[in-house]
Amino acid sequence: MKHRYAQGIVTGALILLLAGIPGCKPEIIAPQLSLGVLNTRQYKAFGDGYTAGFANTLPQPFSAAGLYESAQSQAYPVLLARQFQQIRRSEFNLPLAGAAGSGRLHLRKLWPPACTLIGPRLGTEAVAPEAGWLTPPGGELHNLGLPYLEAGRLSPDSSHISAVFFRRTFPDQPDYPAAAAAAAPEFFTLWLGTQDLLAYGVSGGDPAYLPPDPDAYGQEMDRLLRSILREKPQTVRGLIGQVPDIVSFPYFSELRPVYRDPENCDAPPLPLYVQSPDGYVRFATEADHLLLPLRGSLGQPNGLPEGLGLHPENPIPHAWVLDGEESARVQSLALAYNGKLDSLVSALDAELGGGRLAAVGLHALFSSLAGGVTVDGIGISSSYLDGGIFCLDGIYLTPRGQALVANAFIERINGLPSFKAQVSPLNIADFPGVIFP
Amino acid sequence: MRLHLALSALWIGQAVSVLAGGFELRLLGVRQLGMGHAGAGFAADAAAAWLNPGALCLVPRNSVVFGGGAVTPVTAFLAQTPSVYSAASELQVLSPIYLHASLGGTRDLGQWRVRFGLSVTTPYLSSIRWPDTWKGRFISQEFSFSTLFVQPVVSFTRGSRLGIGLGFSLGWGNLLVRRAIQADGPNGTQGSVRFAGTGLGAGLSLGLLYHVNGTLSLGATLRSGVMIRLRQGSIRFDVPESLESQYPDGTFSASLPLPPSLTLGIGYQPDPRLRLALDLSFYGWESFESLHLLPDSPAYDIQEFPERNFRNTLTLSLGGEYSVNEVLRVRAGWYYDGSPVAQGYVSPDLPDATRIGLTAGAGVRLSRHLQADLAYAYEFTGERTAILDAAVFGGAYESFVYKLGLGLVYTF
Repeated sequence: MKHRYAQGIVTGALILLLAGIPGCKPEIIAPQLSLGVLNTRQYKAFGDGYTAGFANTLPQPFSAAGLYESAQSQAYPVLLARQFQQIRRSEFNLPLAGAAGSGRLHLRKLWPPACTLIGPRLGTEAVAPEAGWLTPPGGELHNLGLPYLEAGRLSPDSSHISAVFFRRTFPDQPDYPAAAAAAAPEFFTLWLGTQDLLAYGVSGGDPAYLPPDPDAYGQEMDRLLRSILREKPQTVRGLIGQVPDIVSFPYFSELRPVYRDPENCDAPPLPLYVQSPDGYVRFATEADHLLLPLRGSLGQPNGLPEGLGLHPENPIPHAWVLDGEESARVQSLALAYNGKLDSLVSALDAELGGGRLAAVGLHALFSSLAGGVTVDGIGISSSYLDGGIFCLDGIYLTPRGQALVANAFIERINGLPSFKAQVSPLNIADFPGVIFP
Repeated sequence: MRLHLALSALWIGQAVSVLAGGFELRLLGVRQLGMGHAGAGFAADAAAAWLNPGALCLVPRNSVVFGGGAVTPVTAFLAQTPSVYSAASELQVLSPIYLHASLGGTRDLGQWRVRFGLSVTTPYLSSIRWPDTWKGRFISQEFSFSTLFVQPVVSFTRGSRLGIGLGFSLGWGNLLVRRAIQADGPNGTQGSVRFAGTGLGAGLSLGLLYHVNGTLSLGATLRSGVMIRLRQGSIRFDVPESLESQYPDGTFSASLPLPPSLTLGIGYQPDPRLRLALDLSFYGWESFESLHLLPDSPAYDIQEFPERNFRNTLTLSLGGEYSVNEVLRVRAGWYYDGSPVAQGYVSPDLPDATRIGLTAGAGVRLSRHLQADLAYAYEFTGERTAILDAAVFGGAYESFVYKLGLGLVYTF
């Protein structure tokens, strides 16, 4: 009787000890990933500078600087390909421009803000381009993103900055649709149209850069998409990114249309004088979007009365303001482009038999970022410098911004039943925002 | 004679250590660990000074019990589907210790007998360290909280059936929190902030033990909550040089409420060689609503996820001890430990879930006065899938805890 107790306790204790020791570490079984019907070996990415990984461009409009290796290799197509490669080995070749590449803007120093409302003063410098950056690459290219490419300028216009990149990337192709057709993708992403709006926006609404009207945008996108689909119509699948509202980008949204004295935080904000397109001088209103390069020069002496913008005889030139009417134009064009894209994508998808093409809600993504979101405990927003997604130029994306775009594509892939794919998203925490010295 | 007790009291034996719900680590006696942490319902030894002050005066002889343990919690994480990102917390060894003594013997005061006791314990101990570059680094890279309590106790009995005890406890707490902040530097460096602080708190405990008859005893221990107030803790930033002026070092304050609890215990001895015990505890974790680390100087622009909203919990312990012969006793036990952390508040700094523990132990009588105890416990949570809503971060967590306790009991 008594020994039965003892036996029971000893046996029980031994079982416990043996049960506990073997599994030294807990392990949770991960779900199975799959590329489904996607042939990502022939993944080709098409688009503008966002697709190319263009970043930290110079404040001068239409400078070639901003294409360099470390940013190119964190562009969303590269990140997407990396996630595909978790499942199936494949190559993804970029037209690498070299470490200094075409040059870039570099943050050298930061002076703490005297007033938090103004933000820190930046000491930036331009890194010079390296000689012969982006020599025409041999072999197959997978990222065909081209800085400054516009849907309205698919055929190179030798006077336009995009021609510089086109000639260096596709020396043998007559135009971008031809290059796209020659790429003959089995799977593709296309995100184009943002640069059309940016060209107009960064010029302060210069009519010379008026973006294509929605019909023209739709026609050009149709032409490009048909080129992409031409070689593999039986099997090709793809995702087409929507055009975001660029007015929410810090280049347009960071500066408030008032002057604050950087030396005196308690001083009331002063109104600013701006020039209208017709030369008329008026006060800036909340509808005006001052362009980011004004950041260091507002209120500063420039040889005219008072400081820049503080006197009616020293207004802010119109080229540095996207006024209410112009920003509304850009915003409604983005929506109209997306409407065109949606109908174009569904029409082409129907032609291909369905389940092959889909649009990706990047307009919604950037709108939510403008309001601020939290991902994995990281507060992310469109705010300049500390928002984490826009680089020093306030237009293009940091690696963190690129990773968010890549995740939007991955989410769409996983959400499309016809793709039958399950791809693991990226950890946003692994991708830096603005790099501080 | 009694003096050399103090030395031989270097007793590595009676360590009960459990990462109980939340961040409690019950390290109270190796004997009790072997019995699944049950110990409030019978008069075992001087560990009663903490477990049930009412039992202290009913313990047959005075004793000093001393011990410690090694506790290694490991947590695995798998990010939410469809991500296949996984991580595991780094291997850590927590070392709870305890010392209980019933000193001065039993005094007669008329019909009352009185005994004094002292407990030094580390009842709350929690530590988790994730890889610095893991997915949840902006929420937690490291979180550790440890406590040391000193509790003098006085225990009375009248007629050896009912014991009443009262303890006053003074607790010292030490908190360390480290996580990444958004301040990216050159060459892939990432900014981080580290909060470290200590504080004091005090509480009371009340215990009752009633011997119903020769085989059955009932006990209850009521413990007040203890508010550990951290003052002048340090905040240190590790950020790129250009941001240093925006993130000056500073100080912070915080309040960490340890919960009140009520434990009901039963001791049953159907045979002189066999002892069975059951403890049921209720923890008032509701008091732990948030953990704000409040900077004393102007607020820094860093994110915090302070909301905890703990729920009250129940724990159940079952254990048995059998005297094989004059020298050897064997023990085994089981416990269930409910988690105070609600869905929506599961943070990687306290990735808590309901725990089940299996324990085994043995005691060896080395001499007439000295006994050595050994106990081992294996504690596990199931897989818990949860999100920290405020941080939009979640996944599946699973934890294992291994505990080894060694202790000595010196009886005199």
